[in-house]
Parts: sequence; C-alpha cells; structure tokens
Amino acid sequence: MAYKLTYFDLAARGEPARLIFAAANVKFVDNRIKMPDWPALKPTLEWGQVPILQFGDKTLTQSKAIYRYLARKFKLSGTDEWESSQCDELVDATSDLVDEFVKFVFKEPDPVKQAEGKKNFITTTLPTFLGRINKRQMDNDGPWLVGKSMTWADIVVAEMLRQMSAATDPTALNGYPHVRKMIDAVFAHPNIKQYVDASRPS
Amino acid sequence: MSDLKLFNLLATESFVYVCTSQLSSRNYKLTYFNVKAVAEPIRFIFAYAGVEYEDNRVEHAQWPEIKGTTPWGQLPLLQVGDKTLAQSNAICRYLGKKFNLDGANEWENAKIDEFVDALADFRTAWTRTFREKDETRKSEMMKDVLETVVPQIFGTLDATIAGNNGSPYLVGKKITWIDLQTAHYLDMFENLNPGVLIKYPNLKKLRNTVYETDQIKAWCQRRPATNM
Repeated sequence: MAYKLTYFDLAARGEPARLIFAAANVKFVDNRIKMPDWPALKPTLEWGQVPILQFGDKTLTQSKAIYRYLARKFKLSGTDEWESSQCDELVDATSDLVDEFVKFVFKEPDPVKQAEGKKNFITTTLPTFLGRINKRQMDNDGPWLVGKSMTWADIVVAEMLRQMSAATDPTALNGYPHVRKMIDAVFAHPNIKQYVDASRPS
Repeated sequence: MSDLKLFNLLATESFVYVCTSQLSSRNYKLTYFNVKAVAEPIRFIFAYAGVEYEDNRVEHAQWPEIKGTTPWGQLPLLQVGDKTLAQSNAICRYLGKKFNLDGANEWENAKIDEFVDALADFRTAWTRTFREKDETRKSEMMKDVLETVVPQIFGTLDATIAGNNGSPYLVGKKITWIDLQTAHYLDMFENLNPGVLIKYPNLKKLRNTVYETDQIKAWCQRRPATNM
C-alpha cells in the first residue's frame, strides 16, 4: 500500500517530504493539487491544510509531523534518541526561520513594512541562523549536521535554505562554507539528485 | 594501611566515582525565565513522571550575558549531563519518550507530533496579539483568534478526543506529553478568556483530568507564582 502525499505543485512545505521519500528510494503517490481545485478540497481536510500524508485509511497532517514520521520509518533520523532529538531541534529552529520569512515575504500587507522585514531578514535574521548552522556542521565530523550519515535535518535545512536564499538573497550562503558543504552533500545524494532533476516543482 | 585495605578503599572510591558520574550524566537542568509559558509543558513532564531536575530560572537582567552561549539565542534549554538540547518541543518529545509519556507506537507518536504542531499554530496566532501595539489591530487579531483559529484548532482537537474510543486523552489510552502540554495552554488561554472552553467539553475535561492528577496538583501548589 503506497503512501500518498497531497500538496500544491510547489516546493514550499511539501518538498522536504518528497526529498525524504527520494532519499529512501520509496515510491509514493505525489498528488500535486492544482490551485483551481483547492477551494473544493480545503473543507474536506481535517485541519483545512496541506501537506497531508495518507496511508491506508490513516491521515497525518502538519509538515514536520509528516517529515519526522517518514524519517523514522526510513531510518533517516539518527542512530539513537539523542541524535533524533538533535534533528528535532534543528528542524524546529529552521521552522522558526521559515515562519519569519513567510511573515514578511508573503503575509505582510503593508509594502513599507514588507520591504523593511525583507531587509531585516537578509541583513540580520538569515545570517545569524546561517552562522549557527555553519558552526553546527563544523563541530560535527563529515558533511552532515547530526551524526555520521544524512538525516532529515540535513534535508529540511538544505531545502528550506535553498528556497529562502533563492527568494531573498541568492548570495546569502557565500561566507558559510560549512553550510554550503552540507547543502551540496544533500543535493549530490544520487537518489535526491535523480528526483530533483526529474520532478522538482518549478 | 595494608595493600588489601588500600586496594579495597581505592576500589570503593572508584565504584562511587563511577556511580556518581553515571548519575550526573542523567542529571537534568532546565533553564528558562521565571515564567510558565513554553517551559511549563516541560516542567509538567518532569512533575508527572516524578523525575528530579534543576529548575533554573534566569532573571531578565542576566539574559544578555547568557544569550550568546545558547545554540539559537533562545530559551528553554535542557542540559543532560554535558549535553545540551534546545527547542521546547524537541525537549518535550525527548523527555516524553524517556519517561514513557509518549505514544504506544510510531503512528500514535506521529499524531502527537501533528497535534503539537497544530497547537503551536494556535499559540503563534494568540501570542502575536500580545506583541501588537496598535490597539485597533490588536482587537482585530484577537477577534480572528476567537472566531477563526480557536474553532478550527480547538474544534478539531475536541473532536479528536471524542473520536478516541472513550479515552479522555488526545492519543491512545494513556496520558502522553501532548495531553500535559495541551492542558497547560488551555488553562492559560481560558484564564484570559473565561468560558472559552464551554464549546469544547472534551478539552475542558482533558484540562481538568490533567490538573486533578496528584502530580500536577502538587506541582501547581509548589511552583513559583507567576502571571504568565
């Protein structure tokens, strides 16, 4: 019985789940919603939100809950409970950053406040975060953020940084060589590369 | 001292040292401000599980010098021996598992994660109103919380308990860390919005169930009294 992931035909909060499936080489139904179909679908959803993950008669909502469930199932969440908790910590910290980003890039109605918010994100919030991720990777052996092999924390952090820097400041990652090293290692993973080349949403 | 006595003494001291260092590697220290807020769900876990920990509360005046030493410039922080864990829900999940306050299987744990994230969406919408300085905008935001966010999120959580085969808990048959956390935030929200739980009887019952346990009752009696 295959997993079915339902999300818009966008990267955003659906892409890390797709990348986790790809990394684990697990087939799934990649159900990408077209925008005109969204208004009819939304009220049928328990939380009125996507992504959702369906498996048999079960449904799981909330992006991080989905990523974590899949990562545990596919052994991409570290080798023990402490490493798992480190993955949680990194993803929660990234999630805070994404919320900041979404607030100013998408949700702020006032154009002056939006420009201010974007500037503050680029000059302060994002570099501060990058400095911390840089240090975390540097303190860990190898290219990954946690332990000796790739985890969902690497995948989520790499993908969200890719999205956020593309949308705000493509040069943001310069000056953080350890972050760059981790992101490159994620996207060079053969299964991930194959998925991205074939199916990354535009 | 004879060689044998000396050997016994050294062996005993080493044994004691090993025991102590093993104990201290399990020593827990929670650092947060002197408020309930996002650390209280963690304190509830320790209280419910009956596990000792150092409840380290920092004054705001001390914060600037501590901030730079934290992984993300934030609190709470959990120290376990020489290791540090940040992010309140990562801490809850780690301790929840350690103290058998997690789900019975992977799927139950996934649902716990789903609910904690939905609760976080509610908290974000709610706490954003505290920071809004413009009074008109603030009332608008609070109205949106009460008329849109609460019905969606509390409604779904209430229905979740109703659909949980007679269990009063959010997931499975026994209390888990999501029940402790939810009860705390429901209680805080209801204190500021009396009567808000009337429409959500299962959530109200969950809050009461948690607060009436011996452990949480005892904790609430001995914890420092703070507004938030």
